[in-house]
Order: sequence, then structure tokens, then C-alpha cells
Amino acid sequence: MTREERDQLLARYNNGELSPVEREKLFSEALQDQELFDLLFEDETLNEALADPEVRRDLMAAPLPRRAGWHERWRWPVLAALAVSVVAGVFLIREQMEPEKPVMVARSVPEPVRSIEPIVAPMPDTLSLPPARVEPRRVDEVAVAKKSEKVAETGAVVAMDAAAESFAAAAPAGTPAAAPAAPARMAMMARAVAAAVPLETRFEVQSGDGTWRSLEEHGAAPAGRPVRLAVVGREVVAVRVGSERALVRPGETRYFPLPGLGVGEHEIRIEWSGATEPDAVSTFAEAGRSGTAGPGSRVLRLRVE
Amino acid sequence: MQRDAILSLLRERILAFAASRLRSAAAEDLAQETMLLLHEKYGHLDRLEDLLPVAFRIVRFKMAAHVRKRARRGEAGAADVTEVALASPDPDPEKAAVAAETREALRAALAGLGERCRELLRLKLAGRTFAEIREHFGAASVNTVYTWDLRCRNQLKASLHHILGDRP
Repeated sequence: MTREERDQLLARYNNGELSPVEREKLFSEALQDQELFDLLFEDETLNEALADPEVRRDLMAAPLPRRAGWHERWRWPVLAALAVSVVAGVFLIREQMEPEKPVMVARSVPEPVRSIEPIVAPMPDTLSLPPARVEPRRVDEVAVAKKSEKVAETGAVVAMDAAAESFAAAAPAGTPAAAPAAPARMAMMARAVAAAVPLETRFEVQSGDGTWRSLEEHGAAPAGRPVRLAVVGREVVAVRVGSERALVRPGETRYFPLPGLGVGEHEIRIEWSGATEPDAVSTFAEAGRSGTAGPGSRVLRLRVE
Repeated sequence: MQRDAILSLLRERILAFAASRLRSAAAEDLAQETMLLLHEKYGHLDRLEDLLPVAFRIVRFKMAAHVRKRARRGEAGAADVTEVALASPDPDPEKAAVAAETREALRAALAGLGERCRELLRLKLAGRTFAEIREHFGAASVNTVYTWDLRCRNQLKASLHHILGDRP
């Protein structure tokens, strides 16, 4: 008999619910089991005590406490929740009524970026100047010109001068733009030189088989051979070499024959001016006004041996 | 089971029970006196279902008398079991005293019971079965009611130490 079965039998025995068979089974088990015997004895004693008429009357007459309804069972939880709500409400109201303290927050504010307005310098329509002003005035500018072309281009120097002067004149006094930085100025002068020389030149000499070959730089032409100056245009430009004139377009090559060159050093002067119309070749002054390239000249040196 | 076998086992159980609650010598006397009374006065009973309740009543009375006698310091000696009128319906002063003591102790114990225990006892005294009690309380199963009943009865039993002696 398990403990659960034993307890059930005892409970039902005490309540008088056991059948005769179950009762006999319980008693037989009690004879074999001392613990059950003890329990049965105690229960029997209690049953007899409870069977006392006075005890029974007292127990039955005593008013039982009324079973609490749902509202009574929930009374204390509801009251507790209400109290908590009231306390929380008071706390929140006090929090809201208190003036809000300023919050000190450290913040790093970056320096406002000044917008630098570009200085509008009135640039001249052309950088051309009269050929009379051919002497370079600044050593550094000449060095830049030499570095780029290794010759003295009067037109380029004049153009650089004009650009620098116009730039300086346009900039307000005391501003950094009034004294442009050296790199910027160098670049500006280089661009001016490139713009001022709108053509490329090379000497060519005729071989014995009738073909023309280019003379290397600083090379010497053999005496007695026909020599010519090849001019390749970068822009539309009117070119004059000696008494020969021609209009050279971008990428086009024009040849100027150089007859009668004896042994020794020779200087060949080439002049050019911007042009747009073939007719302007006849008049350099007109070409200079109508073309995009400014006028200029170079002195080329040729050695004949 | 034969009567002799029943009485033999019964004596063994009574002796063990009494020995756990009383001194060993008193337990021997109690068991012996109970068996003597069962033999002399209740020799006509030979079924376990009849003998066991009678034996319980005799042991209960003997134990109560022993406890009361032990309480009365200086007064020793075993009670004359032949003078215990168990079969007599007449009120016996000793029995009346035990009953009164039991009643008072039980009243005090009942007052200390919880609401559910008291209601459970009332329902049982009113003749309700455990199934009806389970329905009354809305318990999930009748085993739950058995457990409640066991706890309640254990509380009441604790108040009857003047009869049951001190538990081991």
C-alpha cells in the first residue's frame, strides 16, 4: 500500500466512507504496519474526541467566517495599487512643477568658414602689346620662359608682363591677391608663354637623294645643301619669315626656304600674328586685331658648316 | 485470520506504540493489561474489525490514565483494569475527567484552526462525503481534500497529547 493510498483510506475511514472490505483491508494492514497502526490509533482517538456532543455542538454552532467575495479578496491589492498610483502621481506632478534646470552641455563650435569671393580681375581681351616693349624686366620670369622654350620670346615676356600687371592692378591693395604666390605666378607665366607662341619651328635640310630631314637641336646644316624652315601651327596664325608670308592653321606645316646661307652662324627672324582670314596675311596689323593669338617674334639661330 | 493470530499481532503493535510514547516498563504493562481485558471481557469478539476498535479504546483509556497518573506526582501504581467499566454505560469519574480534559483541549485546538479546516470539519460532521466536500470547495481533485483533511487532523491530534502521549 502506497502512502497516498494509506492516507486516502485513513481519511475515508475517519469520515465513515469505507466499505467493509476496505475497512478489513485497512485493519489488516495496520496489524502489519506499525506506522499505520499508530496513525489509525491517533485518528480513532481524535474521532472519539470529536464525537463528544459538546465539542460537536460548539463546532457546529460557531459562526464560520463568511467567505470573502471577490471584492473583498481584491480589496487590499486594489488599495495597494491605488496608493502606489497616488504616490507616483504626486511625484510626477512635483517633478513637472519644478522649474527645469538648464542643462550645461559643452559643445565644440567650428569656426565659420569664410566664403572667399573670387576676385574678378578685368582681363584684357588680348595680351598683346606693341613689339617695342621686348625687353624682359624680371629675372625670374625670364628664367621661366627659358625653361619652357629656352629662347627669348619677346611676345611671351610681354604677355606675361601684361598679365601680371593687369592682375596686380585689378586686385585690391593689401589683399593677398595683390602679390600672387610664386607657384601661381609661375604657372600663369608658363600659360602665357604657351599662348604667346602659337607655332612650332624646326630647320630641315635636303639630303642628296632629295628628301628633307630635320636638324637636331643645335645641329649644324651642311654647307651647299638647301635648307628650309618648317613652321607647324598651333593656332591660326599669319607667319612671316623674311619676305615670305603664309597663313598657318593648327596642325598644318608651312615651309619657308632659306636660300643663300653660307658657312657660319645665321639668325633667322620669324614673326607671327593671330589671324582668322587668309586675306589678313597681307597685313599684319589687321591680322593682329582679328586673330586670337597675339603678335610675336623669335630669332632662330642656324649654323652652317 | 484466527483470533489468536490477531491478538498476537495486536499485542505486538500495541506494545510498539506504547513503547514509543511511554516508558518501556509502562508500555509492557499497558500491552499486557489490554490483552488481558480483551481476553476476559471481549472474548466473544473474534473478527479484526471488532477487536481493533475495542483495543484502541482500551489502550486510549489506559494511556490517558497513565499520563494523568504520572502527572500526579507521588502517586504510583498501576490502575486496576478490572475496575475500568468499559462496557458499562454509566459515567465513570476517571473517564469523565479524561473526556473533560479532551474536550477543553479540542476546543482550544479548534479555535486555532483556520477557516478552511473548520469548515471542512463541519462538513464532515454534517455527514458530507469527500466528493461533496471537494465540490463545495471547488477543489481540483478529491486528493486535494484528502491532503487538507490530513493537515487539519494533524493539528487537532497535537492537542491530544494527554491521551496520545508525546510523539517520538
